[in-house]
Amino acid sequence: MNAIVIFAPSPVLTVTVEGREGAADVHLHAGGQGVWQARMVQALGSSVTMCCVLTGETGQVLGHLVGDEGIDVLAVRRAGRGAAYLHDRRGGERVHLAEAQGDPLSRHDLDELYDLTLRAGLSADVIILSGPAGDDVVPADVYRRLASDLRATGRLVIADLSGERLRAALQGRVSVVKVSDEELLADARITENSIEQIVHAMYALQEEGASTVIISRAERPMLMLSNGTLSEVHVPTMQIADPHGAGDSLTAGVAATLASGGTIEEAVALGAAAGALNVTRHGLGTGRAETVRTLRDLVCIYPMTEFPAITQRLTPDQLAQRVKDR
Amino acid sequence: MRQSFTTLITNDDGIGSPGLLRLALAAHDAGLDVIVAAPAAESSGSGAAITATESDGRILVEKRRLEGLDGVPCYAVHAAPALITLIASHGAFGRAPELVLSGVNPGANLGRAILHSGTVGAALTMGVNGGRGLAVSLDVTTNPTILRWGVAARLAAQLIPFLLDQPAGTVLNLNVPNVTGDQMPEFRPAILARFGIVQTTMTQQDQHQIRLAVADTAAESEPGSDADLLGRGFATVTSIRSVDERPLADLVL
Repeated sequence: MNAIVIFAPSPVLTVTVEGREGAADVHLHAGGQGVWQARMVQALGSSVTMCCVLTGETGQVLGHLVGDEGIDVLAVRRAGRGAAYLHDRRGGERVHLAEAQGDPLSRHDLDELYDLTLRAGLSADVIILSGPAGDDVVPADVYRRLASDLRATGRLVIADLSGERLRAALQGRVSVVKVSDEELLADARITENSIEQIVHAMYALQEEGASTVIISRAERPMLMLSNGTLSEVHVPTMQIADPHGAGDSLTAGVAATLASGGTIEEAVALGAAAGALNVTRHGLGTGRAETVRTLRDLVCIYPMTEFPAITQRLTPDQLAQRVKDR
Repeated sequence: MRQSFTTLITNDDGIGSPGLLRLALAAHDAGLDVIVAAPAAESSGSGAAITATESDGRILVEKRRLEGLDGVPCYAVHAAPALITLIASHGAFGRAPELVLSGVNPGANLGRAILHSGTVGAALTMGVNGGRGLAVSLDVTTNPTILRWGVAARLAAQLIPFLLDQPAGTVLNLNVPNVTGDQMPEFRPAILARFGIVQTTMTQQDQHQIRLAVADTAAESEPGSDADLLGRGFATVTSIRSVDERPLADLVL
């Protein structure tokens, strides 16, 4: 059934005013990392369930918007202020008029969200752990518990996180972690954006608790560490309209492939193709999904030569001794 | 300035090596007309061997893309670096190169033991085929956690104008210390240590490969040698020659 569950604690209601002065066009959309991932996963043909908290009026609207897109919504519904923003684009530029991060979850709401996600996760093939809209909405430790409990039941867990939430998820151990080079810098896992430092950080992430590590690097080839092999992933260059959603497309493509039993290489190829076309934010026809699959076949994954550790140093005499000792 | 010089970038530890990429980028930035053709697999210690894998009478070659080298032809060749250089100088990858830059090798190639080095083998092969060669190696025994490929590549690029002024057949062997911080090592001309050090790989029976440095540890005590000067933090430059005849009259009869 290729079912994917996305833990998206706080989706965002986006209200955008377009058009002209006097002839305004008001758009309501569901947004946030988990929602963008869910759309892409769905476009790639997997069934997707989003586990979230829907808060107050904005939450009510969000529930309808997401549900109408054909995404199953399992939600904890509560009163209060939900995550939302209001943008005015009538002048051509995007002007932020208001933004609400949403109220933090109470202990009770959090327990309910946790139970609901765990229950949904148990009948899923893959679970994506995505971040909340605001930093203070959910405590980081929930990511450790979810990762640990879902993995204990044999589920594939993909973490698309950074900062403290990433650290927490790794403590619980995950199957795949996807991080961008910018996030590595922000988390002080690297001090300069060089391949050498990134590779070093990738091994550290693996050590901390990820079986496969994927690093996205904007328009540069992604790096992957999986099954002891370090690879670079090359995608034909596309004219990127909006690079921001590329990482979410990548995660969705990886999840969709793993859910249908594909290998990690196939998963990364599809994810890279989805990321390059970056179709998450601008609506998806089935035609785009077809384009993603076509582009996937052009993705090249090359093994990288490992950074050498001199394993042994011998004199010619010692080398000769290796025959004599037999 | 030297736009027209076609330059082959190769190495002995394979097309995926970070050292190769840095060297190719440095050559490209220096305005050279770059072709990358490097072994598909680890070929350390191959010297000037001309081994290759064939299929239906063709040497196996795959086109590759290397980061930052859009538009530069890049090939993974199932062959030893000296063979790649030999066929390149006969037009296998387009215009025959005037220059080969080989490296940046992880691990120093010092002293007369460089006879066995695939990195040096490629440079010498270009030398006997009417071109010029530069072998570049980074000493990875010091500060091995961060390898300064970029420093080695930059020093190599600095030597290129000098090398292009020399007669055809000139081959240089450059060894660069793995410095910390921002300091750039100083160049020093050096003679070859009696044995020195060469990098190779050994294949275990389970096909697992281990890297091996074959070194005569007494080498450091030869003052003025490449091993001695590299150990003291200099970037050593040695002008080297491959096979050459010697008059029989010089021998004791």
